[in-house]
This record gives sequence, C-alpha cells and structure tokens, in this order.
Amino acid sequence: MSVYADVIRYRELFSSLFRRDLRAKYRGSVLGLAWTLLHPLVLMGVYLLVFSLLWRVTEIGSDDYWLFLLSALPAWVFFATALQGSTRSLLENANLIRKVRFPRQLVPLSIVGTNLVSFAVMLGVVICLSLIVLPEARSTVWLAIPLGALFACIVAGVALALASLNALYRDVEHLVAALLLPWFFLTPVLYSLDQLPGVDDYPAAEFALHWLNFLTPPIEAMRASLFFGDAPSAADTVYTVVAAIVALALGAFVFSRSDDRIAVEV
Amino acid sequence: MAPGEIRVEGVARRFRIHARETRTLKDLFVQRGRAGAEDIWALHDVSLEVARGEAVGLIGRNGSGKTTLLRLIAGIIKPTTGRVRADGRIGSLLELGAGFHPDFTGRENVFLNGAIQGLRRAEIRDRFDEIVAFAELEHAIDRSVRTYSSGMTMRLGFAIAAFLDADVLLLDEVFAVGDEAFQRKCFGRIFAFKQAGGTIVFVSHDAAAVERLCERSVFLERGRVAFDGPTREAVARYRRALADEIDPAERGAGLREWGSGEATIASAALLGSEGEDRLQFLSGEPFAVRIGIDAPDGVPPLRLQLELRDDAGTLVAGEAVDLRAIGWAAQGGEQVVHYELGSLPLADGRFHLRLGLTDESGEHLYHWLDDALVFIVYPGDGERGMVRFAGTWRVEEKTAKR
Repeated sequence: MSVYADVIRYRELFSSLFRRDLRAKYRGSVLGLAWTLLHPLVLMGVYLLVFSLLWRVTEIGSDDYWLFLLSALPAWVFFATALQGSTRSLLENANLIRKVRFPRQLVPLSIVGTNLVSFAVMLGVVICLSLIVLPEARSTVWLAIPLGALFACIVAGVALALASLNALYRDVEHLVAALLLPWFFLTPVLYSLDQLPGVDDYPAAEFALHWLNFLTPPIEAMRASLFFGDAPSAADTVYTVVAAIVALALGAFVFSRSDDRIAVEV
Repeated sequence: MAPGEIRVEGVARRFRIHARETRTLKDLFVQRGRAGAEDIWALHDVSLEVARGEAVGLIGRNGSGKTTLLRLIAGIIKPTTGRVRADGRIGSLLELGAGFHPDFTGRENVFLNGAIQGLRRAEIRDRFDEIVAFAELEHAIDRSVRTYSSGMTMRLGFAIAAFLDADVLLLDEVFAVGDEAFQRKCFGRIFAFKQAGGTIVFVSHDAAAVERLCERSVFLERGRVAFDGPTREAVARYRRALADEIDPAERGAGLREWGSGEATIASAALLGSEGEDRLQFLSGEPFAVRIGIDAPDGVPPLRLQLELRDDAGTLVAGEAVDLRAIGWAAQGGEQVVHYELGSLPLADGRFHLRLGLTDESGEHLYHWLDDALVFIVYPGDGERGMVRFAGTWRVEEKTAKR
C-alpha cells in the first residue's frame, strides 16, 4: 500500500506532476485550462443534442434517453482516456525515470488525476441535470459521488498495472487502444443490460456482460442512483467495492514487481 | 548511518539483455520471455564505503560499471544481490536538465524539476533567485525551454541540482559540455559543496577532472573493483590498463617499421630510476631509453635518430647521434646504447617514441620503428600541458628606499 501512500508523502511532487500534466495537455491553446472543463461539456452537449432532439430512443421506457446515456458516459470517458494516457506515461517520462530517483508510480497516477478532474466536472453536471429533470432521483443522486470515488480507485489500479506492463512490453498500449472500442460496446453505456432484447435467449451472455466486465457493476450502480432513482443493488455495490480493492492491490503488485525493471527498460 | 554516508556491500547487478531492443507480449507467451535473452553482470561483488565529506572518483573504461554503480547509489535501480545504503538527500546530476518539459518556461521547469529532486515548493521559492542568477538566465527564465540553447538548458539543470542542499552529490560526466567559463563555475560550486562537508561521487573519463576533485578513487574493471585508494594510483592503473589494451591493437594494425635491414634496432625499453622497465613516468622523474642495436661487420658507421611525438603526432623533440662519437665499436653483433635524462621534461600525456637507424649522412635508412615505445607521463603538483619547464621563482629583493 506504500505505493499509494507515496502520493500523500510526496504530495508536493504529485501536485507538480499533476499541474504539469494538466497544463501540458492544453499548452499553447488560447483557452488553456478552461479546456479541462470545456472538453467534457462539449462532449456532453453533443450527446444531448443528438439523443434528446434528433434521435429519440424509446426502448428504455423513458423519454430522457439523453440523461440515461449521460449517467454512464462520464465513467466510461474517464476510464478510456485515463487508461490511454497513463499506459504511455512511463515511456514518455523515460529520461526522467532513468536519471532521477523519485516514486515513479506518481507518473501514471498523475495522469489518472488529471482525467479525474474532467470526470468530476461531468459527474457534477449530470448530478445537476438529474436534480432538475428527474425529481424521483433526488434522494439517491448523491450516491453517485462515493460510487464515483470507488470507480476512480478501479481506474487508478488498472492504469498503474498497465503503465508498468507497457514499460516492459511495448504492445500493451496497442492492445489497450485496440480493446477499448469493443469494450465500449460490451459495457452498458448506450444500453441497459436488462433492456437488451437478446439477453432473454442468452442468459449466460448477460451474466458474462454483467459480472466478467468489471466496469458493468459500478456503471449500473451509478446509473441506478443518477437516473432510475433507485439505490444501487447490493450485488453491484459489493462488486464495486471489491473491484476497487482488487484493482488497487493488482496495480501495486504489478508496479512493485516491475519497478526496478522499469528504470532499466523504459 | 549519518546523512552523507554511503555503504555498498557485496553488490552485484545483472541486466537481462534481449536479442531485440524491446520485447513484445509475443515473447512472453511464446518463448516464456527467456529465449534470446542474455544475462550481463554489470557489477560483481562491489563493496565500497564513503564517509561523510569525502569525494570519491569512479574511473574505468566504457562498460566497466561506473554508471550502473552510480544509479544504484542514487536508488534508481536496485542491486541484484547485496545492499546499497545511502543516507540523506541525494542530488543526482546524472544528466543535466533531465525531465525538463520543453513547452514550459524556465521558471515552471525549476519548480517541477526541484520537486522531482525532492525539494518542497517553499524551498524552491527561497532559492529561486539564486538558481536563476547562477544559471545566468535572468533574461530568459520566462521563456519556454524549447527556445533555450543546449548550453542554457544545461546551466539551468546544473543550477537546480547545485542548490538542492543535498548531503550527497552524484556527478556523471557533467562537465563534458558547456563553455569553459561555466565549467569553472560549476567546479567552484562543487568545491564549495565539498568544503561544506558534502559527500561526492564523481564518474568521469577525464582523469584530470577526477584528480582535481577527489583524493580517493575507485578503478572499476569489468564490473569489479580493481583498485580503491589514492586517486593518483588509481589513475595510474587506469592508464596502464588503457595502454595495455591499445598497444597490441596498434602493433597488430601494421608493423610500422621499414628500412633496408643491414643493421636493425633489436630492442628498445624505457627505464625508471632504479633501472627497471617502465611505461609510466611521473613528470620530473629520471628517465632512460635503452636501445639494442644489431649491426654485422662491415656496415658503415651508424647514426641513431630519436623522435618524440604526442598522441596527435606532433613532434615534441627530435635528436640524432653518430654512434661513433659516443664510443660505438665497429664489431659484429648486438650492442646496447643508453640515452639518459636526469629529470623528464614532460608534464602530462601519452607520448610515442620513434627510433631510426641510418648511415652518418642520413641518406640511407637501415631501420625505422614508428611507435617503438608508447609511454605515459603523469603531472606532478600544479603542472599542466605537455612540457615541464621546471623553472624557479623568486621575489626580487626590495631596494631600500630613503
């Protein structure tokens, strides 16, 4: 656990790296840091436009498909962008890692941190929209915040593991890039698992989509609280907590095992 | 352990070298990651203790493990076996400006790099003006580092590390670049650090730089400590090892001797003060050349030529002697001639001695040996350059004034 405790111990370094990553992303652009907020808002605006005005999806049994979508989209966007950014991060800082001693796990974790900012903004907006549009969700909407925090732990653990592995095996980043699109369709973002017409015929497929894809339970849980106004199911909640712990432990394990080789092979 | 101490105990470090530069997942699954990999031991059983305030040089050829040892002490990599302990804040100048972000201004990079080296923001803020002044970048500190010249980047990198307030400073060939004035300034800063009780480990190919900074040096050969002691001795061993390795190659590259062969130079050796064979000399030591000449009966009187050149081939000194004039008896067989100097007038460097044998007119060449001997001269105290002047200094007496 000292892998993560170092974030607190070296918080000044972490905040320096965090600020660097945040600013480097939008360096030279006129709006600069404002893009951190604008980018997720523009993205959400597009979905809003397409799915509330142009393409009215009714399969979910509600007119507010756009909000249904937005209740899961921030988590997915966070997962995908944080993973892509952090997987390459150790290689991109190779000259630093080879020459200076510092807790190297801060490099991918800082990338996760910058993406967490966008996630928080998007989640905040969705919570506001939900409060306005869906009075029945008013009491459960807040549960999305602890769920989001647990989700961030999952992303951090997976990102740290993949960043470490990519330092040793360069095709991890290509694997990640190639897997993200199919993964998107296998995760209930555009649809809800129980409303899929096909799942009645293939219960095994539904089981696999729900429990083998570790993104499904946290996303379903967040959607339950943000959109359906239900408390998340116990199974989804427990799964999310366990997944967060396992992901963090896995990230710490993979990183500690490869830490020494990272400095040699990046 | 007190801050500033370094203890390296029985350390070995293995690197796994792969046939290809980078590995892919396929290697892992198909070949279990083993095939095509080769283990290289960069260090074997290295033990070393550095006390607080000591300056230790690490010398050795490329691939002798110097940089690996430095990275181990810095904590960037871990030993395969053994233990490395270094206490206190360690400043590593393994590469100046490592980790600068080109899109950020000098100011932002100072804060970022300082944080990576372990400084808190408040500490950096306190030192910021000093750092910028030392780097002489007052005019450019708010420009992005992308616009800096490599010299400016280096200066900033050095300045940050120099103002770290470290207990231990690890230096790796950092003086190889930069203009001379700034190099002097860096050296001055490092000297001040040493005077203040800081520990230094310094890696360099430049023996003169090591001698200036370190009393003690470790000579590494193929990953082992070949010598650990006074720098002068360590440098001598290093140079001897270099000469040993270069000479056979040069000899093998062509004999570099020619002539008609009626008379030949049969042997040549350099002798030290005790008459022993030597290839290393201290500046100002007694020095002698012993030359065996094989000339059968009936060869006309001989003239022996001697040329001294430096590594670049510049003629440093040349002399010739008619052997008759020094008492050469015209009889068959080998005779030995000595050329003696009470005090070697060379200061520092590697020198090549060429020998030639001609008739007295110098027109007919019997035998010529390029690089008959290669030897090394180490400077004494305060000597620089190629030649030793050995002049004397005096103060003119004051003329009494009324």
